[in-house]
Amino acid sequence: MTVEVPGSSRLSRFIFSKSHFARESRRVKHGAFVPTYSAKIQKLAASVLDGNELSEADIWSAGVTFAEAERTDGRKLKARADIKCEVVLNCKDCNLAVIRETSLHELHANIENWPEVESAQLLAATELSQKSKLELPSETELEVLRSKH
Amino acid sequence: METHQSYWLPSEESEIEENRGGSIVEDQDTLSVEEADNKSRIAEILSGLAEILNEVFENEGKDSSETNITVSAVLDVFMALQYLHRVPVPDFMYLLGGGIGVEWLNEKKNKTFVANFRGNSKIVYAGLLGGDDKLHGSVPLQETKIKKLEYLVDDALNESI
Repeated sequence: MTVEVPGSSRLSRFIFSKSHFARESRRVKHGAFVPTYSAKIQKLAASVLDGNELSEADIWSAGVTFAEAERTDGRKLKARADIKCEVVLNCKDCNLAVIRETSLHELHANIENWPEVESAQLLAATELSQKSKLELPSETELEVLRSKH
Repeated sequence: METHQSYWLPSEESEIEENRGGSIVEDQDTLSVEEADNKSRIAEILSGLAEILNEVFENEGKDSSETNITVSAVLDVFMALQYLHRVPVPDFMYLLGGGIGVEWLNEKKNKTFVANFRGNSKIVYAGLLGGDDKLHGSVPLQETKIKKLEYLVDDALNESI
């Protein structure tokens, strides 16, 4: 059964490349939202955390203990892009959906239903990046979280 | 048909001069402004590409399936930016699933033009040109085909429009 995330939720997309955001202008770039093929759900997806009920510290904690720890390439969490779920759902001509996928984390969800045409996916990813807000962590805080994990 | 100098390869003359061990001072003296600009642009492109490649190489060997950037993607970006020589060098980013993304931004006009390169001799692009003015598409990586792209990027970045 698919469970959609409510439009009022705040979604966090964790960013693992410094090329996916501009620190000085505090902007998220489209690379942060380009979807990849998920073997688990067998379709394109962009993984997000429904952090509506979480504090800032808890969101970063989930970023380190869940998103970073799940990675197999050793990349470290660099930033995150926050976006309202309703903004994703209302993305004009995108027709995206946000579906819970809780096998690894109870607040995990996927942005799904990406257009078939790659350039339309790119347009959607660019729109999401422009409408999201960049949040930068305190490196000290992340190191503390990593040492605890 | 308009033609453009393929300046990413050394000209025959300069290559011969280098092979002969010609005077560097003399070469610099005769360097045209255009050539200097071209070299500066190439340096900027290489620097941008090197930055994202370094980031990928830092993680090399761990699991490169998601973060791998193919040589053909690098070459495609380099070649495309030679063809698109009327527009500024964009920001570079690596793409999940392999590949390179580029972004041109006009912050004042809130216009963004982006393109992705997966190393398949194709450019996939999208533009948010203010309000509901959007576009997306793809073109094969051929000089004559991507002139349209140059116009679109130029249009997005042009302050007067």
